[in-house]
Amino acid sequence: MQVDLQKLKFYIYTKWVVLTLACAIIILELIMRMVDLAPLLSSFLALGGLAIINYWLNRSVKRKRIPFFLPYLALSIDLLFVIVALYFNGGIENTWLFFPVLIIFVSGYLLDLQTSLIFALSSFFAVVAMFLLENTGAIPHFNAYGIPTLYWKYPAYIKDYLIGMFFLYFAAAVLSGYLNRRMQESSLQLEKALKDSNISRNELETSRKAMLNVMDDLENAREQLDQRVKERTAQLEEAKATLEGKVVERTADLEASRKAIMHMMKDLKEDVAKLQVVDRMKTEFLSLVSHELRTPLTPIKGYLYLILTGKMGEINPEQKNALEIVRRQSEHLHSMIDNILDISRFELGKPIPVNLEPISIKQIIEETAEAVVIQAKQRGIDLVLDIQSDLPTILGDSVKLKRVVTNLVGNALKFTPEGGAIKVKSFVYGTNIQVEVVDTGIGIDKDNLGKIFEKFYQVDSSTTRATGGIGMGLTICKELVALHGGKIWAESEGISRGSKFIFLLPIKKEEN
Amino acid sequence: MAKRVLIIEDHRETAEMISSILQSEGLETLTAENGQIGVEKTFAEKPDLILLDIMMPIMSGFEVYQKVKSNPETKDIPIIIVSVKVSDRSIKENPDIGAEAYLPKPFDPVELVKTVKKHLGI
Repeated sequence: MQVDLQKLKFYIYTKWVVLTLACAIIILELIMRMVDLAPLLSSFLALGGLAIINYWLNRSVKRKRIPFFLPYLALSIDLLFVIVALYFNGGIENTWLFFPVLIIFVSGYLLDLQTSLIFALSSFFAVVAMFLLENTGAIPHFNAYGIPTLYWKYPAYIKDYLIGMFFLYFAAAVLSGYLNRRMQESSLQLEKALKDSNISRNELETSRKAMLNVMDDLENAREQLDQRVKERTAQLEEAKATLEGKVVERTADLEASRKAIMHMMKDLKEDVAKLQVVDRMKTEFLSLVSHELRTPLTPIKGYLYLILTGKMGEINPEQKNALEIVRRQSEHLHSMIDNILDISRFELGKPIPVNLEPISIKQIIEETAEAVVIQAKQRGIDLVLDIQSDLPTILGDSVKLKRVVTNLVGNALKFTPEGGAIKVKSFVYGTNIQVEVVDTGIGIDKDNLGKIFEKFYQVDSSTTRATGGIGMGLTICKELVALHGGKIWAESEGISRGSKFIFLLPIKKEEN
Repeated sequence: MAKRVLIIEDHRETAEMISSILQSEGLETLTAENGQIGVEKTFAEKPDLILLDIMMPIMSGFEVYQKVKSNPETKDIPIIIVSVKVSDRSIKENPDIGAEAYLPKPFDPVELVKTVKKHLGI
């Protein structure tokens, strides 16, 4: 069975004390010469044996390897020693006859109820046996401490004494056993409680470990996060560095591009300046040429007039017809020269002189028509005038306006095929006089309606050769109409659907 | 007595043409091939009208004009400027030039006759 180590330790300690006290008492008795030396020696031997067993027990307790019999042996020897000691000190007369009670109690306390009962019974039988053997003379009787015999020979006294001892021993055994059992129960309860607490502790431990695991996980996660933050930061740093590098690169590229562009712009400016000089020279050249062309044209026109009017002699109809063609072509040449001169004036930024006087649009249109009517008739083109009869006079330069109408009608003639029709209309429209030149000619593409008024613009360069124009007529018209505060535009339903040129001239009240 | 017109014109063909036209209208004509001769002939002949070109060698039309107009004997003779430069600003804006008429070259012969007759009072 399991022996309680604490109890054993207590037992061993107590025994050391008892043995020491016993030794002290024996030595004291020896000094006081109360006893003989011989029995004292035997006592010392017995005490030595007890000490040896106690030492053995103590050592085994320390090693925690206790032979199961050792406590029994130790207690049995204790009991035997006590009995023997009692025997040699008066036996049944000894007042210390209760002493085995202590051994019995210890056995019950230390081991169990059964053992204590056995010890109690053994003690009792030993005492009874001792009495019977002494009384019958089987063994000698030793008087206690040299005191004469008192009553070991009186059975009545001994009987009471033995009965008292019997109850005393058994009471000790039962009490100690009961105490032990109670203590064991308490101990079990305590153990159970401890076990429970252990379970709780285990649970606690588990929770703690779980907690630690969670904390570990958290720590790991934090470390991973740190790591990733570091990585990302590094990546960002790298990206930033790359970006900065790129920015520097791009800036350099931009700077280079800017320089290149500046250089190009400088070149362009120089080119433009050169071009402006060239353009001015060209314009001046045009101006000069147009002046030079006028001089020979003057006698041509004059002599044609003289011949055609018969002032230089009669001419036959054939000659007259031929000269008429020459005259018309010279008129055409004249108008082209005028156009060139006007254009060169625009180019040079010179104002065009305007000679404003009250003029009749009706007269201008009629004179223009008169000049081209023969030509139109020859080409089978029907030229129709539709002029409002009460058209007011306006302030204008008749030469310029006549040139506008001539240009428009001339264009209509150029671009209208044989058998077509040209209609010149004029009427009051609001505060303006509106003039329309409508033909049934080749028409104008919508995309070109605005462009035709640009300088030297030809819808189709092949028409230039076929019709003999240089693309200045409409530009001149636009400028000349603008000089009168009016405006001009073209309308057309499209290719081969005819054209309509319209200009408006404001009717201004004559200032007094 | 036929009216006399002095034509001061360096371009011979033009001068001859103008002469022919004016003669066909019954006028008498004189010609001068430059400004210098033009001024001399004006002072000597005292024509009824002068047709004056501007761009001429030796003496320009402007000088002729000033000389003729500054001479009390000739200042009343009407002068018609016939020039390719007639519509130039240089002429139009010159306050010293108060010519009676301008005829831009190449002029219409009918216009010439009309203008000349108008200033001769015919």
